[in-house]
Amino acid sequence: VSRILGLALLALAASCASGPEELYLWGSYEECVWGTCSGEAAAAEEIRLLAEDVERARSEGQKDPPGLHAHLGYLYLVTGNPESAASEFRTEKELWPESAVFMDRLLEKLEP
Amino acid sequence: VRALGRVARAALALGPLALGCASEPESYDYSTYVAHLPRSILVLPPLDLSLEVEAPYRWLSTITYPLAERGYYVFPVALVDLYMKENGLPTPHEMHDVPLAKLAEIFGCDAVLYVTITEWGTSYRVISSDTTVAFDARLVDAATGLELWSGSGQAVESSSSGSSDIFSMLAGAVTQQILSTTIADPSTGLARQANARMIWTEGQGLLPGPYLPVPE
Repeated sequence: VSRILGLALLALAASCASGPEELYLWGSYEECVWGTCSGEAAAAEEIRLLAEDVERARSEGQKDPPGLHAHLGYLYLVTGNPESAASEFRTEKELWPESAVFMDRLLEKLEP
Repeated sequence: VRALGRVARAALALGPLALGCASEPESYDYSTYVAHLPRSILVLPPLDLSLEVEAPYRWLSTITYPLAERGYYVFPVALVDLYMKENGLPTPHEMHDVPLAKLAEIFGCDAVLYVTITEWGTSYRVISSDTTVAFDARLVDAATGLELWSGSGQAVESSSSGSSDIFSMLAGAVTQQILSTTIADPSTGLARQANARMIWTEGQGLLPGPYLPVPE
């Protein structure tokens, strides 16, 4: 419901302002943020959800929201998969140059 | 499910009034903001005066969407929080005290969003209940420390709104209870509304960021 409200508000805001469409495919990202922060969700399940979103965005020609790949990288890290983690941190950096300083910091720890 | 649909429709009906597309108050002074337009925003976990334990991280899970859709890069909020905790900053209080230069050095952020939650949650009365979410926000330039923008968000949902007779008020209270148990936390939905209003209201909210396409 909250997402419906959000969309409704966005649509209304957009009608006043500019572009009518969302920039990104949001999927489960923010739910996973809450899951990770609260410790309520299992990392493996969140990985599955986010990987699904990434796949869907790719097949529909949409964009992943900022932060998603970094978050996914963290989830790989806590499930004992540092290679995939590093790969996701690098993807975040490629998609979003603004993240380079932080991603390099995380990558340094993984690939000293 | 039907109750949820009703609430959503009510919100749709109220939306334009709340957003106030037509009649806007005096526009915000954006001169400093324009001079230091950020590309990226670091959102710190909010301070919480509401004393609701879940409020800071519930709110944190609602803020990426409106900021990113406004055109900014938003650092991964959960990861930022965990990184700071791992580095000896266990609570939002300590995180808010970190010097801007240090934040810029660690994250490479252009601007930092500082938020304080002032109200969060449901107050129950005899036959009705009000759920309120309210917070204050400041966007600060990481390089200069100048305040680029400040604003506040608020959203309220009353279980008996629009009803005058006691039976509909009772029905309203019941609906609210059902909602409370169905949705994990009704305040989260309100936080999304409050964020949207605060960030997207023209003349008051955030300026369009670099990833927002310029309208034709």
